[in-house]
Amino acid sequence: MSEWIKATEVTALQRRKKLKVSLGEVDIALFYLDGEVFALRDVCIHKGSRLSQGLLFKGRVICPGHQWAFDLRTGWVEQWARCQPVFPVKVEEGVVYIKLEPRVLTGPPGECASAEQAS
Amino acid sequence: MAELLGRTDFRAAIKDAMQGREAKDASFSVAWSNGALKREHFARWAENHYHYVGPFADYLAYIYANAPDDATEAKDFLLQNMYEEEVADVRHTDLLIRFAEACGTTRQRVQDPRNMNPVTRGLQGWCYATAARANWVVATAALVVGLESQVPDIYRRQYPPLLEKYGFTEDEAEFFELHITSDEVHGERGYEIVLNNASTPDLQQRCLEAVRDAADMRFSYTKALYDYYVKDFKHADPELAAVGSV
Repeated sequence: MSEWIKATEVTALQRRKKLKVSLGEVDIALFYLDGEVFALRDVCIHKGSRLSQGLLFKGRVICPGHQWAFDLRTGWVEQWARCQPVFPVKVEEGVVYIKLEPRVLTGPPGECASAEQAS
Repeated sequence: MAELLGRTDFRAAIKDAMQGREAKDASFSVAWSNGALKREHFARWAENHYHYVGPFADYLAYIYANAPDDATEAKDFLLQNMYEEEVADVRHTDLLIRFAEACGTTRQRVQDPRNMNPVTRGLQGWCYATAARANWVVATAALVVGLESQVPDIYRRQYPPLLEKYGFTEDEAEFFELHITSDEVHGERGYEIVLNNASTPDLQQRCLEAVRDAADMRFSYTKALYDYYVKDFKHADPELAAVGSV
């Protein structure tokens, strides 16, 4: 079980709405939407583009490479039924913390999908 | 006198406006899906398609300029579509040219406007005229919804045969895989602009008419590809065309 790791100050994220942070060897894309913070692996599962350079649209981050649209909360991309790893996030006293325990859905969210820990 | 449609009804009316005139049902699309085309047909398709989609950011730039400065979200959506088309990663038209080269034609031939047929020239001109002169919401309905949002449905049918029947590699056919997702996002941004900004019955009706016109234009363009390059085989051969045999 990994520890909560400080990733950034929430004010830094509020300004830009997105931010790349590196925790150890893992690059993580953080997003700020409607007062919530979301964390996805930065390197796209499709062809390796950087999600932190993508745009936000309707609760999803649009990968700059091929415009795969990943749900910020689940990492699920509906068109291709694939999942970008997401990380647990908490915000305490203006600080964003992340646990390096990426989760990947194996089926569509809300349809009894199971999640497994990504390597 | 038409009434102002609610968001759900207006969206349904837009979908209805495209019914029966979708480019996925045009002769060239059907032949493509059925595995009836040859690489030279795809080469001619690419030489035409470049001149329709190549200036897409230009079309959107006209609409962007015509949108009022308080339509911030709509302007942002237009800019986002342009960014993803051109500079976010690989330029989308470069992927089209990569496919064209795999079909045996060249970058020079693809980029040379003399190699498009008159119907494609008409489509390109209509896109420019609509973008520059129509009301900005109507122009978005025409170009982003009427034309661009059709793409995922077309390429979902056409991408698998490219790999399975025609023997292209995934790398050569990346243009199509990309557009299954990119134009879903781009089309959805177009819907958002139209649904949020067509605020009078008159404007809604003009948008519906524009969507119908756009679907007709894309259908005609796609059908003309078949008529020019498949039915009339001489047009499919650039050497015959060059010596004035057609």
